[in-house]
Amino acid sequence: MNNLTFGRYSPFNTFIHKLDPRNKIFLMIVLFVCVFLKVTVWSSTLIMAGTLFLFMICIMLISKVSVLSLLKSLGAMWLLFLFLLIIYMFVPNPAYDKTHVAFTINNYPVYYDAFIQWGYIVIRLVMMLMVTMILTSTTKPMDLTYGLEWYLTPLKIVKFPSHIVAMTLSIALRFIPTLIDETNRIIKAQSSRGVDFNHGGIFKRFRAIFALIIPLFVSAITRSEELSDAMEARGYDPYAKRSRYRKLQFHLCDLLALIVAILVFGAILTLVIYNNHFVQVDIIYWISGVRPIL
Amino acid sequence: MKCVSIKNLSYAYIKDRPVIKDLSLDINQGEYVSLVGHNGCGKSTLAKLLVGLLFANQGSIEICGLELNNKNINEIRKKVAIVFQNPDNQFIGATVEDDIAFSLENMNVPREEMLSLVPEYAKKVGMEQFLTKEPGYLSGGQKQRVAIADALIRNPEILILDEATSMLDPAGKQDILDLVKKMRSENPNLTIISITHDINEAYDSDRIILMHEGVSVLNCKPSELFEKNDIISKYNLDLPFIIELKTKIKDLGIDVQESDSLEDIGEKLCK
Amino acid sequence: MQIKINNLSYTYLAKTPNEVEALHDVNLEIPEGKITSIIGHTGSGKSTLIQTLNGLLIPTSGEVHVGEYVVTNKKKKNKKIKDLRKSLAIVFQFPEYQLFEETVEKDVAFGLKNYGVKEPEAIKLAHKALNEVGIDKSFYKRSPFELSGGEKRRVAIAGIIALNPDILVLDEPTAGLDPLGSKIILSLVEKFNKEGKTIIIVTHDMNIVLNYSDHVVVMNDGKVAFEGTPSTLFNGDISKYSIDVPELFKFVKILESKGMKLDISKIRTLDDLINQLKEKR
Repeated sequence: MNNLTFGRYSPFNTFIHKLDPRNKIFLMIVLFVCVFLKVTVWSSTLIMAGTLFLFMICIMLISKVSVLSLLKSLGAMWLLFLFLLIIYMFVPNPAYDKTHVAFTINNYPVYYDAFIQWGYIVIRLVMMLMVTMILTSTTKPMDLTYGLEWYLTPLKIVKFPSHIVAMTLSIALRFIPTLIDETNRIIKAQSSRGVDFNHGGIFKRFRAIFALIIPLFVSAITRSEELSDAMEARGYDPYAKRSRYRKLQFHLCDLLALIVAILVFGAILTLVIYNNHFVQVDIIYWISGVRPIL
Repeated sequence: MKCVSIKNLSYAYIKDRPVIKDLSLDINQGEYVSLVGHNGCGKSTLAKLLVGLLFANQGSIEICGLELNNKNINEIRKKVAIVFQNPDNQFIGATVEDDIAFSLENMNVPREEMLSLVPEYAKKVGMEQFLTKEPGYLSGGQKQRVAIADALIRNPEILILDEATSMLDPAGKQDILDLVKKMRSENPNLTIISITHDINEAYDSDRIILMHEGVSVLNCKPSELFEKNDIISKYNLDLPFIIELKTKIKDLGIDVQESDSLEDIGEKLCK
Repeated sequence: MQIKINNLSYTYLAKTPNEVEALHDVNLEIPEGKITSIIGHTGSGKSTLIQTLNGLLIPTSGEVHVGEYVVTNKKKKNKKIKDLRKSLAIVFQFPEYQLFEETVEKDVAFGLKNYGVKEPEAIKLAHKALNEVGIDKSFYKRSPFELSGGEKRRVAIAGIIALNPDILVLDEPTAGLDPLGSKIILSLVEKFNKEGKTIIIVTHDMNIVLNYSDHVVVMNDGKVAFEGTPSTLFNGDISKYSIDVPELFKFVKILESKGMKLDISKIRTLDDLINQLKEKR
């Protein structure tokens, strides 16, 4: 159950919480792009990423997203990080700088570049995780759906049923807690029939999962039938014109957030363009006058 | 004035195994009718036929003078509202206010109107303090109250309660029954069709219709149940306590009237 | 088997800001071989209480003794919990939702197989249990999902009864059933009791308390508020527990207030009352 706490909506009333979900989705995309921008000099990229990281930590603090739960989910991903490290170390890559060898294993050289590349990817993953977490912990799932629906609206021209997709999504979200309760109930009921969900061999566990999944499906199907009856009886027609009770509003704070994001984005973009097309700026050398070993 | 008129209605889910058999029934405007009977007697099927979730194989249903068919189903749905049994499976909106607004959205009611109607109807069912709450934080009784608010907000002629209290605890059940009473006093023209297993609940209505294997076998005022003991016991139905008491007190040689309350009977016994 | 509960407390989400104390220092003994009802309004802790009985919930503090078994938060002592669940079996609310096998008989045999009973023997015992709950032979090879609600529930109960528990706990066994279906389930419960099983029923239905129980426990705010016989309960002052008084006892109170003298402890049904009235005439 603890894994479910990642990115779960936490009902505070911070500046970030108040933002329009449409705006937040847009800002998330901007931040994602920032995370993936890269300059040719690795030290500059690292510093850029570091600044972005600090910026995101600030947002997390402002929006009261628990840093602890970020660390927890990072902890849960250690296997992935290890896997990536092994790949970067042992899969040959022609782009690696072959002159700097960190160490050799059985005469197989491992380059410093492998660690740098791995560092990039880890930092990026962590930052993507942070952005997603900030978005989902400060936005009600339902508001996210409304935001998404808004972005999908232009697709109506090509007959894409964006409102139906949004309705389906919102109902799915609405039923998650109900189905979690149901799962717990079935686990308890089957435990009373001697099912052990935590111990036993693969075959036994497989049986145990069946004893959980099938009743869960049966109940979900019953629920969906009853739900569709209720919706129909209440006059829901997906193809009719419907008015909306919820209205998303773009506030002053949204504008402010947008400006900050554009400034950050602009600064990073300028650095990248300048770096890639004009002069390669090695920030570390520029500040300290010491050229890094690599 | 006739509000619901059912003529020779038949319906079968599986061919040749009808759940409703040649049923004819009239319900007047403003009447509070209880449909009772065992599971599988066809009462929930009848409810689904009345709101056009199913269409009859034979016979006809007329609602407020309008024949129910595929063409005017949208018109009919504005006149008939239904509250189902399971509080969870009819809660569509993310929060109480969204759920109450759902029907209005479907009727394309302008947003400004919704903004005033939603809190008004939430208040009618005593849920005004829970507008922004999600269903997970509500009790079964509260969810059913929300369902009733959504039903009432359409201003229907007929409200069908399909075992709306059967999954609730006694407190939740009492809440809903009190609410139904309040609704009737506020709007005497509202026709209520209540499908229930609880004979005590049915006893409060204007008329009790007992269904068995798709036909109505009893159609009388609750007070007349008194004389229809044989039918009641034939269909294995419980009697309300007061009726059982009256029958047994009568055997003791004490004269009791149909209208006597528990207090009156006590008075007569203590004389 | 005897059930003895000592200083039992249970807190949901302990040590988090959302913690809720569901049970507080409960001390209770459930009489052996009797039918005990546990009542109380929603949230009073009755469901939590029964789930601690077979270790589905581990107490925050205190102990539950069921015969030789103990449920406590001291890990070492809980080793035999799987065996305990065979001796004290719980039938949850809407148990029909736990059915999942292809056929009725397989579903009933499922629990037995979890306890190591081999196929032919398990099916044989399943047939016996199905017979006990009155499910016809013609249903044995059918899918449980084809049955009616009341039948499904009986199949689910058979799945528990097949384990031959000494103590049977039922959470709202009649919820959602029609009066006839309820009567069938309750008469089954009575039969199991006559066969020597201790029965615990969690319910909101005062008729079950009045007509089927020997002993009643009222829970209120996570504590035991009352323990005794049903007639003592209904003749006492129960307004503070927010439970319904059966009509019969409302009427008895009316008679008493009008000065009639009745032997209340002997009144369980309307017929008992009528007989007393007859004697007076």
